[in-house]
Amino acid sequence: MKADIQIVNVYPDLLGTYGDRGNSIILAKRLSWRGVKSQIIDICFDQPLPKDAQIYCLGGGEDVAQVSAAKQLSESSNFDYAIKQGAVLLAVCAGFQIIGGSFPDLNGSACKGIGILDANTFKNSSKRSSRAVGEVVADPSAGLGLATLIGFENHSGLTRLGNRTTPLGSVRKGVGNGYAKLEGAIDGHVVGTYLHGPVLARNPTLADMLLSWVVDDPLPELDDSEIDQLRAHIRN
Amino acid sequence: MLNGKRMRLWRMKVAIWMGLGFAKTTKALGLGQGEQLGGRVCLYVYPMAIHDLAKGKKTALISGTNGKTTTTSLLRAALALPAISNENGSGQINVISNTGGANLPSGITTALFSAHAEDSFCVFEVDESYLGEVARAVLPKVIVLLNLSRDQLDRVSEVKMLAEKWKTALELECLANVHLVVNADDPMVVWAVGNRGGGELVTWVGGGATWSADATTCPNCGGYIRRDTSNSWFCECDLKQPEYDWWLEDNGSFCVEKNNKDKIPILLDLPGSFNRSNALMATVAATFFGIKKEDAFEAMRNVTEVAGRYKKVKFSRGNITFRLRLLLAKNPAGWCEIFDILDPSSPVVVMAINAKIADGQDTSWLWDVPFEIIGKRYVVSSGERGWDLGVRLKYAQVEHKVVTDLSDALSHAVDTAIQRTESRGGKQCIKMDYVANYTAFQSLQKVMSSDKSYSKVLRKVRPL
Repeated sequence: MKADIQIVNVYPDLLGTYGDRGNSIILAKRLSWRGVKSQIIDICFDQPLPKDAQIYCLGGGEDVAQVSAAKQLSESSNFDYAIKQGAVLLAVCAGFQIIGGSFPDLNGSACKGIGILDANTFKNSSKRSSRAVGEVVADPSAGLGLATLIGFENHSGLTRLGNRTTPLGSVRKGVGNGYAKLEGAIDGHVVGTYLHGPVLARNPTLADMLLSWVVDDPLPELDDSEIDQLRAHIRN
Repeated sequence: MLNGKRMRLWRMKVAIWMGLGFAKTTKALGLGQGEQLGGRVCLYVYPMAIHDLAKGKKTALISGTNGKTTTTSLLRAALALPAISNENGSGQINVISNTGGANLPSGITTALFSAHAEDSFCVFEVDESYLGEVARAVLPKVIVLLNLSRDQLDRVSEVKMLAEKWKTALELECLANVHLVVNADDPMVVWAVGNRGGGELVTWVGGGATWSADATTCPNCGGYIRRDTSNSWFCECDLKQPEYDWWLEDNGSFCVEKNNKDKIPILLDLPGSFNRSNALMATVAATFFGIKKEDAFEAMRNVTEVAGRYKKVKFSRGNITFRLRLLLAKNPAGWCEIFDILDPSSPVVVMAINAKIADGQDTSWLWDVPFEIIGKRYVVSSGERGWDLGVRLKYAQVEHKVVTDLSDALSHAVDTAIQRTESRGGKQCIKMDYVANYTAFQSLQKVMSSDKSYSKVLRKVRPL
C-alpha cells in the first residue's frame, strides 16, 4: 500500500499572514477528489521539519517573522535534504523572498536567504510606489502548461532572478518581481511567486502542475467550472 | 482688529457652519450620512476644531480591530443612565457618540458638532490607525484597547506596525494621565501599553481572544509566544500576560473584579461570548465615569442592535414566519466569532462578501476562516465577490450556490429554506442568519429599507 502524500505547512505560525493555509487545503482536496490520500501537517516554529514529505508550502509573513523563519529554515538539514531529493516547494510572497540568496529586513538591510533559488530580493525604495498592492495578471512562461496566472500581490520587494532560474510568467497587470515585468520563479520542483496567500485557489492549473510532480499517474480532470467563473469574474 | 482668541473662535464657528452645511447637503442628496465629509471640511478650515470641541468634556475612546462599534454602543448605554444624572440629580447627561461607525478624526469631529453642553460625556470609537492622532486632539479620560488582528492588509498596516503606532502614541506626555482599559489576553495590545507609568493607570481585563494567529511571535523580542494549559501566554523575554484586574467566569456568564470577588451576572440581549467580553471592557470603562458595574450591565441589556447588526427582521409567506437576523463579520477573527452564534436550527445561511476599498480589496482572508465547520447548512454565497466565497466553500465541501445579487440571494434562501423545512402544518417559524462584510452589510440595509427591493426579495412575502 502506498503511503499518504504528506503536505507540510512550514511554520504557519510565522508565515501565514493572509490565507496561505489555503494552498495546502486545495492541494489535499484536489488529491482526495482523485482518490489519492494525503495528509496536511502543520509544523510550527519550534518543531523539527520532516525530511520525507512530498510537498512543502511556505507562506507570507511580516518582516520580523520572515527573518525568524529564514534563520530557522537555514538551520534545518531535513528541509535542505528534502528539497535536494526533489520534494515540491511552493513559496509565496515572503516565502519566495526567503528561498533566494538574500532579502531585506524591516530596515532594508540584507538578510541571508536559504539559497535554494538563484534570486535576490531588494527593498523597493522608490518613493512613488514603494509597495505593490493589487490584482496581478501574468502570462505563464511557455512550456509549463499553465493557464493565465491571476492573483493578488502585497509586498515591497524587488526580486531579481539569476541565470539559472526561469520566471513563472510575465506580468500583464500588476508588478510581480519588479524586474523586466517578470513574475515568480521556477527551478525544478521549486516554485516561488508574489501572488500571495491562497494563490492556488484561482490557479488550479498551477495546483495540478505541483501535484503532477508527486503523483505517478496522469491526473484525471476535475470539474473546475466554479473556479472558471471566479477567474472570468475577476478578469472582467 | 480681532485678537487671537476671538479670531480662533470665529474660525471655528465658520468651520463648524461649513462642516454642518456639507454634511446636510450630502445627506439631502442621498450620498450618505455626511459624517465624514462634514468633519473633513470643518478640519480643513480649522484643524484645531476637534481639539476645541472636545475640550472640557469627559471622553472615552475605544479602539481595536473588532468590537469597536459594539463596545461604543454598550458604553454609551451605560453612560446615558439616569442614575448618573447631574450632581443635583436633575436630568440625564448628554452622551455624544459616533454610533454610526464614522471613526476617523473627521467623523468624530462631526459627532462633536452636537456636543453643546460643557458636561457632556463623549464615547468615540477610533480607527486603529488614528488612535494617536485622535487621543492627542481630544485628550480623553479613558482609552479602551480591545484587540489587534489581521484586517484589510492591502490598505491597513500589518498588525505589528499598528501595535508600534499605538505604543508611540501611548508614550506621549500629554496622555500620561489617561486611564487605559486593556485586553490582557492580546499580546500585541499588552506590548503596545508597555510598562506605562509603572502600570498605575492601567486596568488589565481578561477580554478574551478567539483569534491568536496574529500574536505568535513576540513583538518585543521576535521570539515565540507560548501558551500554558490555562491559556495564559508568555514569552522568554519579559513580556507575559499581566494579572487580570477584571475577568469573566463560567463561560462569560459572570464578571469578577480582583478587589471584590462578588460575581455579577452578565445578561445581554446581544449574542455571543465576544459581546460579553465587549460588555466587560465597556463596564470597566464606565466605572471611571462614576457608574456602578451592576448598573452598567443592567443598562447594556437594553442594547438589542448595534448600527443594524443583530437586528431581527420578520416577514411571512403563507403560514411560515421568517426571522432573518443581520450579522456583520469583517475579518477572520470576526467570522470565527460569528460561527459561534449562528442559529443551530437554521437550514440556510446567506453570506455576502464585497471587496470595495472599505472592505479591503484582497479576499485572501477567506482562506483564514474555517468555513469547514458550517457543516450541513446550505449557504447562499452572495455579494460582488460571491464567487471567491463560492470557491472557498467548494474546497470546504459546504453545499452552496452563488447568487451575487443580494435580493436574488435572499429570495433563493427563502425558497430553499421552505423546501428544506419539514412542514408540520399550521404556523411555523424559520430562523435564518445573514452574515456580510462591511459594504455588503450596508447594501443589505439599503435593500431592506427600500420597498421596491424588499418586495423583490420577498416576492409574495408579506412583511410583518
